[in-house]
Amino acid sequence: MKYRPDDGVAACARKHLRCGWWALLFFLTLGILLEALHGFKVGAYLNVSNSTRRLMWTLAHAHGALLALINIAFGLTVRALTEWPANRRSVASACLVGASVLLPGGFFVGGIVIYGGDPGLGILLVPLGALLLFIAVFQTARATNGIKSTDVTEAASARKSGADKH
Amino acid sequence: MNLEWLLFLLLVPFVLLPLFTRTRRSNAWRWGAGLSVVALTVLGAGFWERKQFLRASTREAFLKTVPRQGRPDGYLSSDQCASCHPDQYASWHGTFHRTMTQYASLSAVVGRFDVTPLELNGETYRLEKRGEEFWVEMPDPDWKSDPVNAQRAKLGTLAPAPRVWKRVGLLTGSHHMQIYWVSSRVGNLQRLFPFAWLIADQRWVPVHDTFLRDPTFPPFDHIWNVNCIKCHSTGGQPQVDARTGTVDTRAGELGIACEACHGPAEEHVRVNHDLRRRYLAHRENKGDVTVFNPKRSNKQVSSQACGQCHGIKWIPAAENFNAHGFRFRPGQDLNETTPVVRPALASQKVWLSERLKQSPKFVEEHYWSDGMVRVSGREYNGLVDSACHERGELSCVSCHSAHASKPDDQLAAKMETSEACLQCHDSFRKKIREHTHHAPGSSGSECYNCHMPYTTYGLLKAIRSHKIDSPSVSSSVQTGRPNACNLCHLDQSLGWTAQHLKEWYNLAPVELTTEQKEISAAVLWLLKGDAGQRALIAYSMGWDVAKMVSGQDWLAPYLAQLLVDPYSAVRYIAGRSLQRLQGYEKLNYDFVASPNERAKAQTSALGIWRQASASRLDRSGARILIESGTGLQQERFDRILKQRDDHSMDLQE
Repeated sequence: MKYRPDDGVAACARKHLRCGWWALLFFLTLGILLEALHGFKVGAYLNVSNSTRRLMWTLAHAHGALLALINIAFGLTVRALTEWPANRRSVASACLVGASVLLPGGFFVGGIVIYGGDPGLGILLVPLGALLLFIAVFQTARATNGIKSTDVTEAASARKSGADKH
Repeated sequence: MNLEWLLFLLLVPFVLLPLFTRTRRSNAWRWGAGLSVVALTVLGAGFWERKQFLRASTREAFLKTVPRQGRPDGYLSSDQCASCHPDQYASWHGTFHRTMTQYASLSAVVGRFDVTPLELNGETYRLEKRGEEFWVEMPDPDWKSDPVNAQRAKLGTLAPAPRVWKRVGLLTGSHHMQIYWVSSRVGNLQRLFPFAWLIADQRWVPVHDTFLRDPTFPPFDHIWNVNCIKCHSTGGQPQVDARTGTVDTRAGELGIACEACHGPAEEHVRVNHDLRRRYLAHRENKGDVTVFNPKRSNKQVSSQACGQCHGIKWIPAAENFNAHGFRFRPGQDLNETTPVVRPALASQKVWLSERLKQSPKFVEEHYWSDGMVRVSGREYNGLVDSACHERGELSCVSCHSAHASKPDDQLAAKMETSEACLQCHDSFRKKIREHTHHAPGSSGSECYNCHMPYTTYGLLKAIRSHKIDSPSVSSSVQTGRPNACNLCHLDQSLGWTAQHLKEWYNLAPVELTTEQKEISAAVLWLLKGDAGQRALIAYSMGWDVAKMVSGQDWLAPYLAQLLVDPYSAVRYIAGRSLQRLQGYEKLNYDFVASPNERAKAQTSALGIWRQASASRLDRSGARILIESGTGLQQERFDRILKQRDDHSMDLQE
């Protein structure tokens, strides 16, 4: 199948690149904030009794940054997978966005109120987010089964010629 | 609605609803499915929240019945120390200091609560574990202290206490034994549950049987809030108001935590929020004046931080301890607020005689007759009476380390060897044999075996004296305190020791009776001594070093004699030592069993000995009242035993 520039593909790729880079910026900022909590020895984050909160927020930062990178990778991948049916791509995309919100968000909300060693109710969002991430990755991996090396080359040259026209 | 719920309710539909719009189903299906998932998630969250709320409510209700953690005057708790001092926090966390007092929880309780009911003085005590809680059914512990009932008790018309279920609130100890406390109806007062869990033996025994205490005395009626709080908490304040009858006890922290040794940390934490200050301090490595560090202090002040608990203090009425707790803070002079009682100190004689009018047995409950401390947990008294401290630089931290040591004894690296002494007395390093008259490397050449013998009692065992002194027959004769030589050479007499000390160290000869010259000192202390002396000898007879030096086959009849001793602590130690002898490992003996059963065990032990001694006996002779072939010289044995010092004892460890 020849690569045809498709508004849906381009829009999806743009969406995930935008989502990924902004999320990366957001979670890097969160990392800086967490470092500041260390620097100023903020008890609400560092005291032993708050170790669950510290773990939750560290996990929120780590998962958020990782998912931001996955979004960027997804944005690039979508362009290469020309045979990916739009509806499946759309589901994978929605699942990935959902996971990008629920996984770090669940960890973060779970750290706001803690019960000794137990996180708050936000932690319930995490398995949901993990499920969405699983679906998104599975759909993407499945889509890569149909990819041919010529498709990738053609996709690249098509992008190049598109760029020349502009 | 709180922030947590707000964020949760925003995130769930934000993610899930768009997801369902991607499906090819009808609108109704999409919305129905989407909203159902959202509703289920929110419902699940509701259940979760409810469960956590109930758990928190139960915990809150429980915390109202037990002494509170947190108090003013600058105490913050170890919770805040870990972020800057993670290594020190971790090393402290592994110590038995931390667990001196804890709330009763799954992780803290080591006693078994699934055992058959316990019996004591005709009363039954049932134990039960309910989820994360520990409960006991017992006679109402508040019954006798109720004012009306107290009157009835005086008139002899008091009915038996009704039985009540009580939740275990606090527990003390986690090393040798664990003692449990139940809540009272008076404020957050904690009354003693009368059984202790012996950790090594994995069994329950009555608390009063774990102390060296006259068996005719009534059982303990201790209250944690005024007794144990002194040294089993950090900055404890009993807050007992006798006028209003209220009790609202609190402590900086339960257990011995950072601020017990380093002082209240509020100011230290406040100033160190400043990054620049912290990094300047790291670079200069000068310590911080806002907190006390025993390692960086002089020997007196440093040791007093330990001495506040490990010393015998006089608590003046003016201290008003029951209201506000102690005023002493690490870094201050302990003697200013609670003077350390040192009967050996001439300057304290007049002062102490005045104090003793209030508490005449105070000295004999803690000290040998020459003023040397004889109970465990009071090592500071031994230290300050030692020449090494008075004239040298010895302090607690010379040998002990709170942060770089194993939890048992908390000795710093190599301090369990002669290095502890040689770090100062380096000149002896090359003349071990000349000085000790024992082969280098042998137990007799180890400094502490001669200069820190097992002459203090506590925790159902003997513990090394922390007064660094030298073996003296004269002291043994005058005070009855066993000397280092005879605690190891169990089969030798005081005469033998005196002769060697004269030959080796030119010590003046001591006038001894014929008995003291001819009969093993250990045998005499075991048969004639007071309960404290008997406990020490029973311990030494189970000490591997002494058994190697003195032989062990002959010890059994002596230890068997102590199996029926009136003092439970003596019986316990004797039973343990006997069961460590070859051939007695399976002896069926319970130190708190009925007198008949104990007598049976004694007969059984003697039976084993008679059989074994016919073929195997590594020592004999008049010194130990055992003749090869004929066995124990029963008549002499009984004659000496009749002279046993049965004066009432209550060692306040």
